[in-house]
Amino acid sequence: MTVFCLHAGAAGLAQNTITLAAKNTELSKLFSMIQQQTDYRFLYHEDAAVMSLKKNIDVKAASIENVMGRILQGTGLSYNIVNKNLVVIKTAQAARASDLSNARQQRIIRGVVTNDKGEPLSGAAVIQKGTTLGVLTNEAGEFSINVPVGAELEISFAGHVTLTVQATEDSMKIVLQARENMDDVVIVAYGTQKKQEVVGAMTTINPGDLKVPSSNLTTALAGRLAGVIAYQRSGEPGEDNAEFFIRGVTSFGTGKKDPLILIDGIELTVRDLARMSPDDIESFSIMKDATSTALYGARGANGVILVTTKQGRRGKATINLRAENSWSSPTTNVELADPVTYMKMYNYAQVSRNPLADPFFTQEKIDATAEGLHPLIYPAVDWRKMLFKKNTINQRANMSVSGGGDVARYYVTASYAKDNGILNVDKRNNFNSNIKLNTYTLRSNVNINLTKTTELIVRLNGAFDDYRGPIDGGAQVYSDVMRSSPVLFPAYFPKDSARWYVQHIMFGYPASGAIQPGGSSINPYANMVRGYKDYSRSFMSAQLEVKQRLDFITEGLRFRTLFNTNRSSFFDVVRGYTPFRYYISEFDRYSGDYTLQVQNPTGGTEYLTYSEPTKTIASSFYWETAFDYGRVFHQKHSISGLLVGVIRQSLVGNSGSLQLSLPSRNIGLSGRATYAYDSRYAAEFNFGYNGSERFYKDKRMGFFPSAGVAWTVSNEKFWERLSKTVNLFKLRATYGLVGNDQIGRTEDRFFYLSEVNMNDGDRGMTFGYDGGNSLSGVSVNRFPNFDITWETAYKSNFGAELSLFNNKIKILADYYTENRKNILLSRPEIPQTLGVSTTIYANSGKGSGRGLDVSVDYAHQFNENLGLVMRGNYTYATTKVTYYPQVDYGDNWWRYREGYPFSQNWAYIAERLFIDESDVRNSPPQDFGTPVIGGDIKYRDINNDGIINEYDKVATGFPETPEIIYGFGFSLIYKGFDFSSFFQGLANESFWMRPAYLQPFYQNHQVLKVFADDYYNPDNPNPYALYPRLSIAESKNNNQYSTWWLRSGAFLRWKQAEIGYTFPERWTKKAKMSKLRIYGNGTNLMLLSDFKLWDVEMGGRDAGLGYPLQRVFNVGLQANF
Amino acid sequence: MRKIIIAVLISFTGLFWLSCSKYLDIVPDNIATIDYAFRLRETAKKYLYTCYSSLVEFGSMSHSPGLMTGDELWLPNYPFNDGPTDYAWEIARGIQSSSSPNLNYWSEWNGKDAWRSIRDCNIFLDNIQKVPDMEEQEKIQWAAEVKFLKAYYHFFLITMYGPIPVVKNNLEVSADPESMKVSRMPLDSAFNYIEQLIDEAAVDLPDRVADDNAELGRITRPIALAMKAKIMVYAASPLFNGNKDYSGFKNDEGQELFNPV
Repeated sequence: MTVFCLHAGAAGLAQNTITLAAKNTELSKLFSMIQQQTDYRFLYHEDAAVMSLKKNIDVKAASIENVMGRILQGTGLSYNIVNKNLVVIKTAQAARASDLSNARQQRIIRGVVTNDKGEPLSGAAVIQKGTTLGVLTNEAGEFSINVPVGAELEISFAGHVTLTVQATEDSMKIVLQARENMDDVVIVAYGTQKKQEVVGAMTTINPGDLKVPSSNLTTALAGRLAGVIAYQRSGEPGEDNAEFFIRGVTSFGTGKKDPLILIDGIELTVRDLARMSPDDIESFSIMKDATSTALYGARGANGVILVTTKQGRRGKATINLRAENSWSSPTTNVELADPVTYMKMYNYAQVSRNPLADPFFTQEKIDATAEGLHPLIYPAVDWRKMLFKKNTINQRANMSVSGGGDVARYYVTASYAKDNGILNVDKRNNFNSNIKLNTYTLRSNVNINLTKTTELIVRLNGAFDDYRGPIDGGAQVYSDVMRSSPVLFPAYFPKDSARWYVQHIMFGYPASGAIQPGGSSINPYANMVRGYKDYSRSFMSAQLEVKQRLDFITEGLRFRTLFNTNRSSFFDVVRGYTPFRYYISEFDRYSGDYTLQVQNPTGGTEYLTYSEPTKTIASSFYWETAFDYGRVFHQKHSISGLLVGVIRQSLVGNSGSLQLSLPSRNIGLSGRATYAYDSRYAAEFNFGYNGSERFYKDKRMGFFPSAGVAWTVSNEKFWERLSKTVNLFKLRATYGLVGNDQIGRTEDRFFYLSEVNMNDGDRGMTFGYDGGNSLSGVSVNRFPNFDITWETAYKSNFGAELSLFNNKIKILADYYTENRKNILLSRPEIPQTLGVSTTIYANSGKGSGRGLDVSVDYAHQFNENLGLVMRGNYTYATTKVTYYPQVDYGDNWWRYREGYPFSQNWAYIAERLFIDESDVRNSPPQDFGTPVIGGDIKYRDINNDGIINEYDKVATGFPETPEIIYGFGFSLIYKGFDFSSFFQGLANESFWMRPAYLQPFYQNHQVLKVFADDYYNPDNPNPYALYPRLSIAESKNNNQYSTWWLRSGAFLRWKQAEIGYTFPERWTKKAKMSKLRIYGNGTNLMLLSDFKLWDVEMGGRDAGLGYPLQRVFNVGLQANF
Repeated sequence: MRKIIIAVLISFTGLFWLSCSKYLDIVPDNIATIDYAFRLRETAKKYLYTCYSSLVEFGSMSHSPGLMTGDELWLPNYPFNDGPTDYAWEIARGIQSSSSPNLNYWSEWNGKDAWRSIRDCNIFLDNIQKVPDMEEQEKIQWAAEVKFLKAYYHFFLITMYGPIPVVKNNLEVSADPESMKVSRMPLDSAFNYIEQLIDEAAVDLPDRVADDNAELGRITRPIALAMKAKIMVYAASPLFNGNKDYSGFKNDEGQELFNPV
């Protein structure tokens, strides 16, 4: 019998020749002497009697073969060398002896062990189960073992799932699955790490949790990932990306604040992430602290999102299919006042500011409208009903095929989504101007084994959007509806006998003299249906990666290089006609007869005209080369290292100016060194050394180091008593620097170059007798500044991981602090007398952030049929300005931003509405450019200087970026049924209702019903009425940002619920399917919030009047073959 | 095979780091900078016109402070004939606001930024000697015109804002915040400086422009001297000269801004 006993000697000696002189020494002693001077190791049976045989030897610089031949001569032992340095001593006699004692028939089983990519695994242990009999595989992964017929073999290899097979065939192929999916290895910057050795703060999510009935992945992020602040402001297809930030917004400059997004190692945009299908994602993780992001150096300060796509697995082709159909409708609709109230309020708004004004709407018109008489002469148009459908239908499908053999593996996926807008279509046009967004993606990942140690990976990816929609876009249609008078004109006139020949739609418009003062003559219906815009966006990426194992140099060393280039393009085409504008020139109020006139008989067109607004083309190139090294010594010392060099370049084809047209480039060298001892202590050092072309020579390169330690307390001896209840307890701490080079506005790319317009028409002059000599002038748009450089974040993180009760409960908590310096801000101290009209910037701002990310998971399988998973996470991220250059506010200390969150707003404190004229006269004057009278908002004079001005603004409310995001949910599986539900909320957010966007009649705004119900007027002289005194002109006094319009953005919503049924295998097998599941789900089902006017998540953007968020009901089918 | 792989790796990494030193130098040499304005006579002329371009449009209804800001002239409706906003008239109508004042010549709103013009004048005066293809005489004449304009912009600011800081030379944009804190100059010194500039300019200005068709409107000696006379009258007026109301009105260096006598 051969029994393992691995004597690992002091390895690392490069010398492999042996000089040995010994007399009468035991074999085992000789072996250990050889071990001491070479890196050969010996494997033999310790008990074997022959090992105590004594031998003489005297060799100088002899080869191992030479020495072994001498030592083993006459012992009956033989040897062979495995894995270059492992000498296996065979006791042939012992094997024979056991043969004789064992009556069962033995036979030799040969086989090869590979991983799931078909690479041979050398050194995998093949053991007869229940015995200690075993062999190791050789370099080609081959083994041969002599076992009884029918014995079970147990095959194990580090990092792979141990497999037990019956020794049936003479030549076996054994595939070990890598344990990556089993929580053992996690994706980190430029590589992977054992989970136990991870020091940095990161959150990973099961990609399945990102499945939402939307073709936009970013809408799934909120509340699912601890450490991510995310919210969605618009529901328009194609424009519905959620905004998301890792650990909040930690810069208050004008530059990039959102995280770096890397998909398969390539930096891409939010849009590219949004287009990804969760089905294709292998892993999704976010890097939060300095150690996990420092390798990205000057690009990682805002956190990093790492996404990898699936790769093919060895085996026969498997096909996954998913198809969904969903119905979506707005979560809320802002209610508007009815037309009669609209007119009454308008008349009052006129008179209330100017008692001599003639009310625009006659009593006769108001009465007739109220009666509903002659709707074309006295129109009362519900524009929203006219323009929007109640709901719309969207479809999505995704198919992937994967499989492969020893040499190559593939994963190919295609997906398609069709999102429809909710606009109505006029049947009389032969084109459809409703929003229709088709997105297609195609992805192919192929892995090829070139040699046993070389792997080639090719990734091709294309994403294509085809859009058709109204000329001005869906958001503009909403905007038009909110800015059109409901009573001036109908959407269109029917064809009448006088105009029987007309082929076009006779859109209604107000007569030129009949526009209400302050109004406009937009017909939103005409604007929507007068034409359509097509746009097409494509993104293509090709990526080649070569991985080479360099075990022949030293074990555990690997090299890889990766090239990627991608192209993105966008173009749009607008086709539309100019509507003929019809109006009623005369009518008979009794009979309802009317005569139509055309305002623009020559301007209107029946035929389509055409324009090409924008075209964008961009390309980028990326090259990454890396060496990495990982090895375990003496089973306890785990060492790894990584050195990676990257260069990237991107070019935009139509950037609009010479300076912007120059390529953007980055170059960097990054490295990581880790050391872990006995799965208990881990330490890590990372650095990034980056350069960016944006800064002046001596500011271009920056060094960003970081370091961290982790202690797995639960692996200590003293923890043993606790280890049954607390399975894992790990503490982590990190500190380091990360930078952000994408600062400032895009126009200000090169701060160290001046930008001069040598042909500025605005700065020209004309001379000469008859003004005959003109020349344009010269203007400086930017003065050179050699000192500008990147923002630097100093981040520290303290984390704890806890697993309780057989890993049923897992808790992950991280506390972090961050200090950010060099935030690019304008220099307010620059006096006007300097004479530079451009803004001068400096790296002057300083801020700090701190927060907490916690996630709690609970998973329990009650019995075979019933399983429950519960999940919750909480993110708190707050910020504080520590230095913000501001003008001197003197004694008005509350105006300084230091000490307040970055997105804090300053606003006036609204006390109440003025009661009357004398109230106004007895109050401090409010000088905003419009006269103030009773019913206008009265502001508090904070500094008691007798005048309301800028100094009276105070920090009000919570910041505009929410500080708290949380989510919780559960999923329950009972037999074939599964049910899950997810709730999400946010808190500590304030927003303004944007009074200038909502002011009735100003810029032709419609009247919100809530304002119509409660506004200041003679019948309702309430100093706390919801809306102050009306005005048809801009009411600058009332439209100031003040507490009058401040609202809490906090909400909790029932974000998603899903119910599914997986058909039993015995049925699906008949159809050659491995899985068949049908499901139905819904998103944005219910909303709890104090704010009722519109979906509070939309906040103050477009004053909530934009394209609303959608409630979606969805059914789907998932089949695997 | 192994040797090949190692050779490839070494050359790869070698190439990588060889290429990097120049990799970030992407800006070509001929990016337009302010120096380009003074490389040819024609571009220098553009700069001269730029210095002129901020002169107040006293003839414009919407921009002239003298025409519409009082109530001598009134218009029937606002904005007048749906035309451009009548900024000047808004002042007469009482809609001037302190946060965004109309006809703002201090910083550009719907006025013109006089400080920027002064900076342009200084840049011109610093660089005009560099232009290679100009006659010396012409350089002197253009410089004299710009000197006059610099004096005039200072004078115009004084009429609007009283004592102002005088910008004899441009400060660098990257100067530290302390040196950017300039002080208002006592009125007498400011008027003296303006007068001195005009005197310097008047010597080099022509009596009459050479070509009416191309140059009428450019500064000549009679214009300069006439303005000087007007400026002296302002300087001598009781508003600026011995204004008792402003006695004790000092700048941050402790200098009396209005002379007491």
